[in-house]
Amino acid sequence: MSRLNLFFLLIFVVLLIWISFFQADQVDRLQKGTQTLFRPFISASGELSEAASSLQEEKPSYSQLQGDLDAAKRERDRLRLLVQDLDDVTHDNNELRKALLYKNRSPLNLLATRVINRKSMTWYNTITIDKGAEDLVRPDLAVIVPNGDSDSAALVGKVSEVVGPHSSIVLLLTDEMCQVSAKVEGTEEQGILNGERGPVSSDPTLSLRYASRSNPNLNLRYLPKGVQIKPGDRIVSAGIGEVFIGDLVLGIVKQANRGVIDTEAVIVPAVDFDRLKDVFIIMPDDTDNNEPAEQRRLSVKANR
Amino acid sequence: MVYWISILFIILVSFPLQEFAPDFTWAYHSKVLLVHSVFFAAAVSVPFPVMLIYALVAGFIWECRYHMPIGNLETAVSATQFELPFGFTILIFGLLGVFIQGVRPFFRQGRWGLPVLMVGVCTLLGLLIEYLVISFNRGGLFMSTDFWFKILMTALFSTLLAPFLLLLFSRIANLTGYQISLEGITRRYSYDGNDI
Repeated sequence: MSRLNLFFLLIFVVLLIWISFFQADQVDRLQKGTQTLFRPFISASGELSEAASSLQEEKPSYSQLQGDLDAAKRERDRLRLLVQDLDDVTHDNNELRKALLYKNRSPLNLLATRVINRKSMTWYNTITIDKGAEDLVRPDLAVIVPNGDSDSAALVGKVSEVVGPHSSIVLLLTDEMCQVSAKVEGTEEQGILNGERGPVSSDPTLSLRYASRSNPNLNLRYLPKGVQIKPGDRIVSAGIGEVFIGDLVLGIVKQANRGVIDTEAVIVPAVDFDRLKDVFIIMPDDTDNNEPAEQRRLSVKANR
Repeated sequence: MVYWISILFIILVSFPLQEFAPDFTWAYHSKVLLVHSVFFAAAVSVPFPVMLIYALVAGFIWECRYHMPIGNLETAVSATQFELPFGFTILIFGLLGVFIQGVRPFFRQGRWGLPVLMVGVCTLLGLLIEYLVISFNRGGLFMSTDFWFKILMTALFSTLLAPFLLLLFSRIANLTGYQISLEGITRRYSYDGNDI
């Protein structure tokens, strides 16, 4: 090797060692700067993906559209009647809410965010959202969505990294590193729920493990051997860790396997990760974000 | 010099373009790693010191953009975790850049078969090393069939991209009058195919 090559190799090694000793806050600053620089491209690529996926959607036939239109008209008429009743109910409900000081009793302070990019990192299941440092978002805050029509909330994941004033990366529940202490609803016996390593897997022991490539099932491990668990049971967060509060819906038991030492279960996630659009970050109680009060205080029923 | 700067510019441009590279869900969530492909293809055509500079620049920007902190785990009390140390991609690019430099004589002779294949192989090796380090940190080696398909498909996309990149680089070399030198390996390969 020539002296010149050796000299450059030496410089390279020295610089590499110097870079590898960067402190977390230095890395954070560098990443924030880069993300700010790349943000237009990230947003544009997200919009392009949305446009491309909408083009790929199957176009319905005329008869299908006509059927849908008829069904929609029937539904509209039914809803008109319902709305008249609901006006009264809503009025009563608002009065009751005021009376109970519902706002103050609600345990959660929520920040509404929108998913701006669904592309995952190479080895991690992630999404990018449009709230960041300026919205007081910080790592390890839980991210949820309302769970269907009920008052409960389903866990999406947690903020992994705040990468800009208006963007953060969320590590999804389907990732192996997003671990949640979980329990079967109605029991106190707990296990650890997480996804699989990498975006997909084909564990030969469980052919039913994956519902789809984008929505893999989850694994609930380390449950006591004698735990009462059966397919259809609802799994919720136990709330014993520092990251996630209790009673967030995680999924439904698909299959339970009793082992020699413990019980494991395959869980179908409560969240459709393919369709995530608007999600909520659970902000610390002392955070005063600027979102409308109604959005911030989406209620999660603590004891169902 | 003009050639080296041109290639550096292409490497920098590949970063914003990488944002538009789609995830192929039908191909086991593999993706086109454009930056990796451009770097490995560039490493075939430049001298060792320039390759190291490219590795440093490309690896550093990649880390700034894609380095992933995990945060706290519920199951363990720990500080914010970095599974792959910051700067790991620089190391990967440096190591594999040295590896792929061995096929420079083939590129110079216009025999692109092996360089094209090596771009894919280096992409595969890079991903494999990353995954092994992640697995080491997590304390368990789990290699499913889908995992192998994912990295093989990613490597395949890089291989498919490589001829176009090498063609682009050779055109730029012609335009700028750049001659690929074989310093460091000329003693072992005294015949470089240009004497006939």
